[in-house]
Amino acid sequence: MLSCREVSRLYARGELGKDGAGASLRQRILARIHLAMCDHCSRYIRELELIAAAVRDQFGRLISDRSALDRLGAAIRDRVRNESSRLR
Amino acid sequence: MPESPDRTAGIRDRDPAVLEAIVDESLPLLLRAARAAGLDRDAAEDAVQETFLVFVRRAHEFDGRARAKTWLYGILLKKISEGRRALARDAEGEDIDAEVEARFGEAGEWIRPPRGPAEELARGEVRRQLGECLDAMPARQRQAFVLREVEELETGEICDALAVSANNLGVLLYRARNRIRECLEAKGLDGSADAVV
Repeated sequence: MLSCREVSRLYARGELGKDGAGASLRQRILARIHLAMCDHCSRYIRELELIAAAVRDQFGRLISDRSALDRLGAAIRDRVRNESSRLR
Repeated sequence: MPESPDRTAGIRDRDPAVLEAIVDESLPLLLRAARAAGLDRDAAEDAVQETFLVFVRRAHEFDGRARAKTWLYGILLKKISEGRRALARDAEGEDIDAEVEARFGEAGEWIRPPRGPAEELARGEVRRQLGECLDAMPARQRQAFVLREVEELETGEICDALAVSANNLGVLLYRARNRIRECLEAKGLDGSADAVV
């Protein structure tokens, strides 16, 4: 059997994902069995999947948005304003 | 080419209108320069933001002999070369490993199981915290993570892009994923909503 440490490590390293480089077929099967029985590991993986989806969403917004430069400009102007009033 | 005496005085006095004008006119150039120096989008934006802050902090030293743009450009390039050294360092060791390891007992079982922000994440309520966690990450881990999860490149492509071995990529992804997860959990998004529901 694989331990929780091993299963979570394999997943976080990307060895059980889509292209699954690294993990052997045996490890993949053992990991599936483990996950079917282990709530903690299942939760861990669900969280990582949700994090990945949220990051995709966040970057998607950034890249598709033509006003990204404007927003960055506004953020910088704010920081510059704060910093200069702090120093003045 | 020198800066005009008016603008030079405005910069030295940190005149808000002058500083804003300089941000607006220099931002595209600095971003392009940062990208051209090989930084990804995030790192480029970080470097440019830092550059403007250094500019403001040192504004009183500005002598107007070169244009503000040129001065900014020099600050940016210095930032980028410092960043490269920091990047080289964080490849060596990471406290995240110990942090994750401490969650497991001797038999490899969870002794501190994940209680992270699953529900909040699913509802898209953690955008700001997520952004902060991403910003706080070592650039290389973020790059690896983004190439995998956002750009959806294959392992071989990412290894080429980052010039790392498949094993190193595994380490970067492991650290990136755990770092974000731990970061969100540490921000108090500990799944306590579960108990309420």
